[in-house]
Amino acid sequence: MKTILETVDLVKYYGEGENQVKAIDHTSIQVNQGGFVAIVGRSGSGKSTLLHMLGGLDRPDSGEVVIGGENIFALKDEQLAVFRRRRVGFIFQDYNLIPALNVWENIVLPLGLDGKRVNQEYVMDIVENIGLAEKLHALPSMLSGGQKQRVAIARALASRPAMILADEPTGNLDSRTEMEVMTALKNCVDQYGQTLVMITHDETIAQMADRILVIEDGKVVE
Amino acid sequence: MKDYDLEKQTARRERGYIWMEGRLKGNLLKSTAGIVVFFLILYGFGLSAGSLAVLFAGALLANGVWCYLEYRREYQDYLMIFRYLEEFEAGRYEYRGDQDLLSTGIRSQIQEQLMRMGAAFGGLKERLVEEKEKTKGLVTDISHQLKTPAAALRLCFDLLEDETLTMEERQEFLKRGSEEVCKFSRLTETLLQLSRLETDMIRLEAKEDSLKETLIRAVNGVWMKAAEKEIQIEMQEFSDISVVHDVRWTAEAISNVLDNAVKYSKRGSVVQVRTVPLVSCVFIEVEDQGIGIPKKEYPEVFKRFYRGCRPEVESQEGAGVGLYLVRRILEEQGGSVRILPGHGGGTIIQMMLPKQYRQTGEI
Repeated sequence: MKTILETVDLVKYYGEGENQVKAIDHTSIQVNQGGFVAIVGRSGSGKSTLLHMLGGLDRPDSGEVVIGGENIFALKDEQLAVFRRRRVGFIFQDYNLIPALNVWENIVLPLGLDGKRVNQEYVMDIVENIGLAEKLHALPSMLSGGQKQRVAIARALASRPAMILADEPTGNLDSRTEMEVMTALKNCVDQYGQTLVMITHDETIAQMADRILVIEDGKVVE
Repeated sequence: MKDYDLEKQTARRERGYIWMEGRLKGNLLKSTAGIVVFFLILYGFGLSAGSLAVLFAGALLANGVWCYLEYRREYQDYLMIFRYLEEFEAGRYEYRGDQDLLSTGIRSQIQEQLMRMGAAFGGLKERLVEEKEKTKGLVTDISHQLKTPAAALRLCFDLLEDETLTMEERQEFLKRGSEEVCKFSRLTETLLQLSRLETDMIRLEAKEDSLKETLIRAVNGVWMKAAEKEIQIEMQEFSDISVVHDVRWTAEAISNVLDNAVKYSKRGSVVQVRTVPLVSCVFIEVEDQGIGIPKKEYPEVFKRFYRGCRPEVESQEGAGVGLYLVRRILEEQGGSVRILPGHGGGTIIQMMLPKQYRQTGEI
C-alpha cells in the first residue's frame, strides 16, 4: 500500500540540561493510505507533540515529516498553512467551534478561507451521514458534547483532506457517546477513502483502529 | 539533434500556435476595431492628426502585446492541465507538477483538483490490487485451517489400519474419528459463511424490523448450550424498538457473541444482555462472568483466525472466526463493536447499530 504519512528520525526536545524533556526521541513511523491508525500513550508520553508535528503545527528540532511525498518542513510558514488547509483535517478534544456561527457556517468555514466554492451536495452528504441534518441552523451552545464533536468532524471532512488528525477526539464524552462518535467518524473516513490518525490514552477506543502504535517516553513501538 | 534544440523548436512551434489561434486573432481584431473607433472620435473633435497618429500606433502595439501575453498565459494553463491528463491517461496517477502553494487563483485550484483526482484514481487502482491480495490471503488462510483437522482424521485412519489393534482400541479410534469428522463439518460450515461474507456473495438486506425479535432469535441459537452448562441468559427488559438491520445476520452476530460468553464462562454463571437505545443508535451489550480477555488482546481478537493462547481458550473448540464475523456484520450496517472489561472480571462486548441504515458508498 502507498505510504501517505511518514516521519524520518523525528526529534523534539524541550528545555535544556537536566530539565530536558525528550518529547519526541528519534521517531520513525509510516502510515498507509486509507487506514485508521491509533497512537496510544499515557499523558506526558509525547503523543500530542507527535500529532502537532504530523500536522505541521509545530516544527521539530530535526527530522522530516513527509505527507504525500512532500517534506512539509521544507515549506515556508505561509506555504505550510495553505498545505495544512488543503491536505489535513484536524479534530481536537475541545471541538474548537466558533460560538457565533451556526453549524453549517462552522462546517464550511475552512473552505471559505481557501477561496473554494462550497460543494453543497458533498457537504450535505457528510452532514447527513454524521446525523446533523436537523441541526444545521443551531448554534454550538445549543448542542451536546457528542453533537459538537460531530460538527468538528464534518468540518474536518468538508475540505476533503487526504488525512485527518484527531487528538483525543472523544476525551470529553461518555463511553456510549464516544463509541457513537467514533463509529460515525470511522464510517465517514472509510467512505471517503481518507486516512485517520488518532491519538488517545484510551485502549478501549484504540481497538477500533486497524493498527495501533504505542508511544512511550517519546519513542514509538508497534 | 540535441535535446536543447528540440526544446527550442517546440517552444517556437508553440509560439506559432498561439499566433495562429483564432481566438487570439478575434480578440486582436475586436480590440483594434475599438481603438480605431476611439481615435476616429478623437479626430472628430478636431485634434491634430500628427500627434494622434503617434498615439494610435502606440495603442495598437500595446494592445497587440497585451493580447498575446494574455493568451499565452491561458495557453500555459492549458499545458499544465494537458500534462496532468496525459500522465493520468498513461496510468501514472502519482504525477505531481510544480505547485506553488502560495498562489490561490483559478490555476492553483484546478491544479489542486487535478492532484486530488490523481490521488483518487491511484487509490482505486491500489484497492483493486489489494482486493486481489485479500482473496488470495483468504484462500491460503482457509486451506491452512483445513489442514489440521484433515491431518487428525488421516491419523485416525492410519491407526485403524493397524491389524494388531484390540477391539477396544479400534472402537476408541473410530469414536475419535467420528468426532473429528463432526468438528470438520462444523469448521467447513463456518468457513463457508466467512467466505460468503468476505467475497460479498452475501449482501446484507437491512430492513426495518423489531430488535427484540432479533435478540430472541440470537438467544435461541445458544439456549441449549447454555442450559447444558446451567448458565443463565438474562435479558434486561426494554421497550421494543424497530431498527433498520438485517435480521438474519445481526442475529448471527449476537449469537456469536453469546456463544463465546457461554463457552468461556463457568458452570452456573450469568450472562446479561442489555439494550440501551440512544437518539440515533442502539447499544446491545453482552456481559459475562467468564475468563475475560487480557487488554493486550483487545484489538487482536477481532482479527480473522486469531485465537487466544491461554489454556482455557485452547481447550475450547473454535476457528477464531466468531468475533471477526461480528465486526464485519456490524460494520457493514454502519455499526461497530468493541470490548470493555466487565464489572466482575468478565467481558462486556458492546455492539452498536445505527437506527437508520445508510448504504455506504461501495465502488
